[in-house]
Amino acid sequence: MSELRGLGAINDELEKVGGQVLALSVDAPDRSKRDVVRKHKLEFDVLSDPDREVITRYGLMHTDAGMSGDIAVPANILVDRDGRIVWRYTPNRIQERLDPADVMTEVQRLIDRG
Amino acid sequence: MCSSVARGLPHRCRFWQQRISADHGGVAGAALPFLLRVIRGNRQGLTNGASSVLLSAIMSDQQATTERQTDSPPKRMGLAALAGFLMIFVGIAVYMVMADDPYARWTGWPAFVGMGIGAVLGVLSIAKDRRWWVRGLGGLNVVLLAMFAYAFYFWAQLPDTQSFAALESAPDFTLVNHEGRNVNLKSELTKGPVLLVFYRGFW
Repeated sequence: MSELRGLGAINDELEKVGGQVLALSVDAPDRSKRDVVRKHKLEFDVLSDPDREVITRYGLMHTDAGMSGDIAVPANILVDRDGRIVWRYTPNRIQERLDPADVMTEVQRLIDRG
Repeated sequence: MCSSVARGLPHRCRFWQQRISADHGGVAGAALPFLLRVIRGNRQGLTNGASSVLLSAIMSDQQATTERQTDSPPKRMGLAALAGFLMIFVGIAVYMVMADDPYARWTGWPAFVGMGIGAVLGVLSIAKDRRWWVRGLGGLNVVLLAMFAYAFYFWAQLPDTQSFAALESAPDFTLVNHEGRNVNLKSELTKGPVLLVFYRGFW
């Protein structure tokens, strides 16, 4: 869950140009709703990929991740209007977390470019 | 003397010793046991070098313990070992509470401080107390720290994401959101840029 920390401000920034944050995990929709919408009060969409179909297509499967089973490698991907990946981030260790300020810098760079 | 060498064959050994003494007098009779002792010492030195070093270390340690015992009685470290054991769980609990702080999460310092105190108390307990359960608990403290450190650095490694790194454009998808509504990436991108966040969920 801590991966979603600080993403509200980034969603606000993207909304200025019609964009948004889309989060994605293996959790079922009711679980996402309870955790993210009620507990963290997030204003962006949280998508469910219980079949790991999209996670596999993006090459982000972490098979047999300890007690959690098959889940996604945490990743941040900034996609422009044409569908091009302009910036991406994946950690090396599960304890590694991205500073939301770094994401904000990249988002602003994309917005400035138009 | 001789029977200690050829323990399995004492009568044959005694036979040769007696025979040599009988045939060649006292010189050979005294030389054979000496020779056998040299051979025995050599063999042990070659094959059991490591174990004899270990054995002598253990023996000198035992000696030291007996000496210490006569000087001062062994300290009772049961409470220290138990406190160390509890510190390990305190460390893990504090780490879990602080997991949202990036520095604490990345370094794991709350867990390592707590478990480090536990391991130090464990080592002290082993050194000063001779009761089996105190030594066992102290040893367990050290083992738990080692296991945590292993899991923290090696088990936590994420898999290689080469195919992800090779992606130039974002593959399209349609997934259901938390409200049960379908969301298609391509149609969302017509409105504006998207930050896609893959996260591990439920924890």
